Amino acid sequence: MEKDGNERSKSTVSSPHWTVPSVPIDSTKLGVNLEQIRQKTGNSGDIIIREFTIGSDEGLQAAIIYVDGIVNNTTINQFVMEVLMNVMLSSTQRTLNDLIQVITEKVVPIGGLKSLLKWDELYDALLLGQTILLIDGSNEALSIATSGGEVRSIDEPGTDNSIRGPREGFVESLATNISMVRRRIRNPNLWLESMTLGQVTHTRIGIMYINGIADEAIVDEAKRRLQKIKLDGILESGYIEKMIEDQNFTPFPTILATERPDTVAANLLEGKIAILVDGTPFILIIPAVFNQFFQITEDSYHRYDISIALRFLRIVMFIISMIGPSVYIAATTFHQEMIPTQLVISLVSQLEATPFTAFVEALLMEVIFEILREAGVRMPKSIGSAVSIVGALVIGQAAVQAGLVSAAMVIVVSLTAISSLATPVFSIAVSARLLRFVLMISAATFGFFGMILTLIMIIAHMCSLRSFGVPYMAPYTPVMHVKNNPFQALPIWMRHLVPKLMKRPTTEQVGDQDNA
Amino acid sequence: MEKAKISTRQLLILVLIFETVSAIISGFGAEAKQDAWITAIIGMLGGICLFLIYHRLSLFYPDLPITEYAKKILGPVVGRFIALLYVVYFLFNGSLVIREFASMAVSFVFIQTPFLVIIALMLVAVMYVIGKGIEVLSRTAELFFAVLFLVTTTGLTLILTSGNVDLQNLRPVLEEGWLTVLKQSIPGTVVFPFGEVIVFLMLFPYVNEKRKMKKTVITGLLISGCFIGFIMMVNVSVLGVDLFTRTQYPLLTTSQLIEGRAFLERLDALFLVTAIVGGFFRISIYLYATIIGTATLFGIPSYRKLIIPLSMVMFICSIAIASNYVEFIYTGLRVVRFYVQIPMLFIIPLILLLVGWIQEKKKLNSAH
Repeated sequence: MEKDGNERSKSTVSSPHWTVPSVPIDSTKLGVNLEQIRQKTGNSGDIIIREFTIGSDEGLQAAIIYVDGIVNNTTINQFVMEVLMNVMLSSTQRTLNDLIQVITEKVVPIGGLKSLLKWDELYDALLLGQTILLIDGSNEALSIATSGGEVRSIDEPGTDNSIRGPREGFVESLATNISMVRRRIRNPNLWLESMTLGQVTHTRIGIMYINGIADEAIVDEAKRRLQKIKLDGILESGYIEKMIEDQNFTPFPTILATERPDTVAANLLEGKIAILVDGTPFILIIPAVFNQFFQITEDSYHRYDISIALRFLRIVMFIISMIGPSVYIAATTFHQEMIPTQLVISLVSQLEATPFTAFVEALLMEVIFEILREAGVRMPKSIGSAVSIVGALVIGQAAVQAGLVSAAMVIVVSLTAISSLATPVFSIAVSARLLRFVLMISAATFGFFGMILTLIMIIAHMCSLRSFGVPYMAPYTPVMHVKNNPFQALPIWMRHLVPKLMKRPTTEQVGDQDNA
Repeated sequence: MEKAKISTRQLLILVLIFETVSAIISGFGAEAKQDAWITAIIGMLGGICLFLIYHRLSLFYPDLPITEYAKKILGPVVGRFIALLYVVYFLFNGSLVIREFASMAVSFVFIQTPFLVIIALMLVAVMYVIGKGIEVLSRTAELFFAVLFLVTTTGLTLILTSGNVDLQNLRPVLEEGWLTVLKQSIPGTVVFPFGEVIVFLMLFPYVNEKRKMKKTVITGLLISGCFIGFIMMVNVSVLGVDLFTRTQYPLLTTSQLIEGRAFLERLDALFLVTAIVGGFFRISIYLYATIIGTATLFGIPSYRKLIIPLSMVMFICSIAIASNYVEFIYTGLRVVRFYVQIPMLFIIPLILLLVGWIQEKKKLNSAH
């Protein structure tokens, strides 16, 4: 079997050497086992193998293996090496059968200890940042929880900013993220289920939900879809998002990604399910309906009247960012009669001076804006001011003076751009960005007629979407009573209504889940 | 038949859009002059009576569309023939609606666009939405109802505050006597738009709360009758009898008379939005009924396969129906109203009802 392992690691091309077979550690010789680990890891410099003897007087040969950088060195030095090297073992305890048990029970003062019998378990533990203890003469390995190392400290979230509310955002570490949610919902019914996905990356995934509030059917469905994922690598929650969506061929997001722990907590309390992925601060929330992308958790922190107005404003902004330029195109090209006469005269005199039709102008300006925006995202911060100066020239007075576009078009495009940037969730703003161009084309060819038909198709498409079985346009259609409906966003003390979006017992019944 | 459920609320909205928009956009009851609103009310009452027949009919087999239970009531041969008649009727009516819509669009916005293109575009949108199923169609209607509501309220507010309304135009009431009004209403306004509610017999199997169905549709008919009557009153009082009887699209003329005090100079665009949305749903319902009818008639399991062929048929039918607008008006108003609508809306349902009744009685007797 060892030979087999060696051969595998050598013949890198033909066999899937990146998998570790689930075979028992059958050799009891320390040297052989260590050699196999060295071979499997390709003698990587960060895999530290430290051989020593257990016990202060001539004791047993042993070795610890850990990965440098993802472990806590102090813990290893103080609570593993030091205690093991200084331990006084009586002769009876030296028998190999008892040794692991003795070390577990009496020697190593660390919470997470686990005995391992298989190679794949060993590697999994090792790469999670645990320290592996191998003892000569035993084929049983011991993993010691020593995970640590440098991670980004908790910081304000980069997206999802708020005026009022907690300042902390998720980080890249799964454990930290889970703890941030747990601190907000101190309830034993907040359940976490873990799984590992990605055949090469072995990324850890956590599914969090409040047992008794979340719909069990949706939890099962989510788990079923996650288990079906067969990907080599999962580097970000976006990979998972694409794999578990109900429908992929849609410009609209059906899963919400957030960086804020309070948003996750609020959604969990509504019966949603959070999917946490190691290595990314973006946590997925399912199911997510259209309405949810316009209500941010902060709304509940402000006075409710302001919140209702703001939610309404956000939907209006979304609509503007989608149909703004197309309305302008349709009105100036086909339906001049609906514009007040004086405005038409000034518009026409502007259009006289420009060589292009309204559609070409709008397309030009929109594309320029998209270019500027893309540049703004990727460029190094040090040259940011240069882009903004150039941007102001390209979309601004200079473009009008050059006779490229009309001044009215600049206003329309700027308004559209600002509206699109003000949409709280990026993923839904992007869909408006895409559909804007479709609507522009239809407005340019058939005016309001084309535009409205396109809108009907878009809305029909949205009505046909589902997010984990929940209709996407709920609660607007089909009408449902939910506590976060923007038109009934009540003050918090009146929100005893629990969403009917997903049928389930009320919050008061959490605990006796049998009636679910 | 697909597996779908629509709520009574959605049914109500579909009925409202279906009944109202087409009637308020095209001329309605113009022959009754200033009493057009009375013909609307009488038409509504007649429509409700017809609906009571249809509803009783649907109670025999609540889970089947009319094309299916015609077979069960009248036997396979005659029943199939009746079902085929209904399918053709829905197809034909749908074509009329499309043609009417396209003529309207061409006559006041897309003067240089061939109406073939308008029809084709409309049908593409209709095909897309029908492909998504009746649930999506009714949800979309639910959302667009809000748009229609907003547009209508804005438009009406502007019209009513424009200072053009002169209630004197409505007088004298019943100038030419009840008889003229009744002649205009029966069968005129009873069959269009109220009697056309028969197409919902194809959608009744999908309604989730069958008990509330009767109440819902009658509410819908009542609201749309009153609303159409109200719009006709507004039209007459703004335009005067003379202009009202002469204009092709009274509501359009009414809204064009508004002077620009508001930010919207003229309401053509709002009118257009209403017309497109309303026309869209009316066509969709007819095409859907045609498709479901054909699928059940010929036992085709997946109705989606029929969308493209039947849309093609509807496309051709809407062009071939008349060679020009005058002929179209003649076909739509005279021929269809008397030779098609009356048997389809009144005589056949009544026969079905009677035969069904007798069968039910027999069954009850033999059971005892």
